[in-house]
Formats: sequence, C-alpha cells, structure tokens
Amino acid sequence: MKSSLLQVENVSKYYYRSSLERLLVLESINFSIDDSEEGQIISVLAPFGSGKTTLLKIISALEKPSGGEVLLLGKKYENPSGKIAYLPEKPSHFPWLNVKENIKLISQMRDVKLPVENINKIISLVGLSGYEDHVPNKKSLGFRFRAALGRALAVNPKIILLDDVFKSIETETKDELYAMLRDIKKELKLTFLLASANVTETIILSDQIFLMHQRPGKIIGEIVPQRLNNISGSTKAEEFTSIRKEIESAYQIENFSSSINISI
Amino acid sequence: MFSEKSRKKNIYYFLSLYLLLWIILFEFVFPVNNVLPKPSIVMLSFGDLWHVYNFGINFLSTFSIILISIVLAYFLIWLFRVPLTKGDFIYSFITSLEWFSNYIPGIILGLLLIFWFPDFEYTDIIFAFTAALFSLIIKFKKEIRFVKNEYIEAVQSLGATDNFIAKSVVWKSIEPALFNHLYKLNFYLWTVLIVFEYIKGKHGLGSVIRLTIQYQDLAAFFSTVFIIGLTIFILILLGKFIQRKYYYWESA
Repeated sequence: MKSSLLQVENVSKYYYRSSLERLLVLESINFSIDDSEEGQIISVLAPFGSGKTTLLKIISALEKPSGGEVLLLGKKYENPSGKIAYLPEKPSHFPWLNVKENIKLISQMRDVKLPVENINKIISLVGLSGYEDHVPNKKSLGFRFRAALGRALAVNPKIILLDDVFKSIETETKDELYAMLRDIKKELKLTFLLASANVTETIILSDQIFLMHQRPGKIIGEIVPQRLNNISGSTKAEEFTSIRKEIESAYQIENFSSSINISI
Repeated sequence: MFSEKSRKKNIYYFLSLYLLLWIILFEFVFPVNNVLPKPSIVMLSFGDLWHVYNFGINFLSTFSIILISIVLAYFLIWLFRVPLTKGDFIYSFITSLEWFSNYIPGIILGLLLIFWFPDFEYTDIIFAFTAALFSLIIKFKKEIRFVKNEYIEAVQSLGATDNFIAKSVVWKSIEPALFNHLYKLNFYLWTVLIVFEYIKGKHGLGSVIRLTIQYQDLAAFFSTVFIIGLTIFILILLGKFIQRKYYYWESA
C-alpha cells in the first residue's frame, strides 16, 4: 500500500461577514496525494471564486482552517517551514534581486550556504542559464515565474503549490513552462499541486485532477488523465475530448458548467 | 499630451525666457527699484555675501543640519525597521501625532523649542531631525499597507521568519517610495528650517535672509535665494542619480 505524501482531511473554512453571518468558503475538503517516487503534477480544477487560493494557503499553513487538518507524510502540517512551498498567482520574485540572488536569498534566510553547483542546477532547471545576473523587474511574466520557482526549489520542498500561476501568461510561453514543469517533476521527483480554472491546462499537465465546485468549495470528483501519456495520434485527441466531457458532465451534474473556464 | 522630454524642454525654454526678460528689463530698461534687483548688482553681491553676511558658515550650518537630519532619520528608520513593521503601539503613537500634524503646522514645534530653550545652540538640529524622523515614520507606516501580499506569502511558505520578512521583504519593498519621499522632505526641511532660523536670528541661511531684509539689500537677498535654489536642484539631481542606480524597482 502506498503511503500518503499529503492528506487534506475534512478541511473547512469560513469567514465572518458580520457577528451573526458567516460565509462558508470550503466545506469538508478531503483528498490525498500518494507519495510517488516519480514525482507528479496534481491539479485542483475549480471555477473562479471557489476558494482555490484559500485551500492552497491552508495546505501551506499560511492560513488556519476552521476545521479539519493537513498532514504531510503523516504528520500535521501547521506552521510554514518550506516543506510545502506556495507560489501565488501574481509574480512573487523580488524585483530588487537578480535571478541568482533570488535563489540565494533562501540560504541567507536559513543561515546555510547553498553550494554554487546547486544554485546553477536550479537556474538551469528553471531555464534561466545565462540570465543569472538579470533582474526580473521588467521581464515577462514567464521569466518572473521561473525566477520565483527557482527560489522555491532552493528550499528543497516536498510539494510546490501553484496558485493559478499560468493564468495571465501568453499561450506560447505557457507551453514552454508546462514542459519545464514536467522536466523538473521528472528530474527532482517532485510533486506539484496546481490550482487552476483552465480545463485544458489541467488535462495536458496533470497526472490526477480533483474537481472542486464553488460556494462552498467542495471536491466533487477525481479524474486521472495520466492515461494520455501512454497514447499518441488521433487516439490521444479522442481521449482528450473524452476526459473533457467527463469533466464537463461532472460539473453539469453539479450545475456549475457555466462558471468553469473551458477554453483551449 | 506632452512627453516628459518635451515638457522638460518647455520648462527650460521658459526659464531662459524669464532670465532674458529679467536681464533686458531690469538691467537696461527699468531704473533701480525694489521689485527685482539689477542683474549686474546681483552678480556683485555674491562677493558681499561672504564678507558682509558670513555666508559660508551660515550656508554650511543650514546645509549640514538638513543633510544630517535626513541621513540620521533614514538610518534610524532602517535600524528600527523590524519593530516599526510589527509594532502596533508605535503605529498608534505615530497616528496620534499625525492627527496633530493635520491641524497644527510643523513650524509651531520649532517656535515652541525657541520658546522653551531660547539660548540652546542645537534647537535647529533637534527641530529638523524631529521633523524628518516623524515624516519618514509616517511615510513608512503608510507604505507598509501597500507591500504586496504575494511577496510575503511566498517567502513565508518557505519558512521565513517575521524578522526576515520585515528586514528583507517589507523594507526592500518600500525603500524606493521612502527614498522618493526624501525629495519632498528635503524641500520641506529647507522651508521650515529657514523660517525657524529667520525667527531665531542667530545663524543659518534664515538669519542671512533676515539681515538682507534688515539692510534692505535686495541683491543679496536674491543671491541667497539663488544659491538655495541651486543647492536644492543639485541635491535633487544627486538623489535621482542614486535612485536610478540603487532603487530601480517599483515600490510596493
């Protein structure tokens, strides 16, 4: 039996609108991610405003849940320690530091020296070799995402949470970033948990998709598009369409098809 | 409508026009009067400033008080950036003082200092430093609210401590805005300090201006104002150079 890398158990979250009225954002979220030796990309597919960000912040311990708990390798994960790295939707690299300094910052933070070869390896993994001294301040969103991802990789996390990070990036760059993510997954045997509202993105990128509906956010199903990896040609296109239909029908049952972004 | 470059160009055209008009009208057309001095007399009065008004020492006094106040206040803000970021008490304290500053002009504090310590030598630097420090603290506190959450959350998830976030994220995020504020602060300090020195009448450029008015020396008055303007202009240029080199990122 495979052990769990991450378990989200009965996580719920509500905010108080007033002293009498409370808003339920997440309701009994349950899912787990196996401790794969290969590394994997798992997605939480959900419409806009369904609490994806709140869920990721709870998983990374940036926010406390109102109920339930998050377990990392069987242990309660309550304080952010770098084992679960969170990359927000907007660029989070520091514009006052160049690529190399952004990555080295973590060693400065932890008072340990990050070996030069590790820094160079990270820079090469995120595809920024030759840009070490570039300041990402005025660069493209893709460049900034790479720099922020490099910084997260420097802490050697167990999971990296990606909060709809590709949303504002142009399509050509997105394809490059998807490929980069797959390479990193393979090379470092790392698990990514992507929250996204884009069906196509989750199908082509993920090994497993959790479907979440909104108000309150709740997991309604699970799809494994991994099967796409083993086929090619027209069969692959057919399989892709069939997965999309599966997703759409899951949302139709829940009456949420209109709010999910299904652009390709 | 106008680009920044053409706007600057227009300003220089107008400045040259004013200068030309002043030279033509007040050197060759109008007789000596009390509205504006003759350009040739202003030129000559530069020499008088040093002998009659002891301009060198007085200029150095005002200039160094302003510079020391700004540098020291900035240094203290940097030194206490962690408690300033975290401290709710400091925030409440500063907000209460800011409330006063909305209704009571800052110069009143200076006048009070003269009232309390009429013979104390260092009231000017205490006044300028206090004004600089409070102005920077208020700016710091205002800017903290605009620090991007994504910067903080991303490093927090990587295990960054509150101290690290205050030092390396919050401070760096607001540093360009804080540095930008120095231009305003510099101008404000020149204004209030000159008024303060004028009232105190012991030393500094305010006391020079007081003497020029006392002696009805319009040319010396103009020369003093010209040197003050030029100094502020040079300080702004220097600031812009530092900003371009060291504070190139966008603030929070």
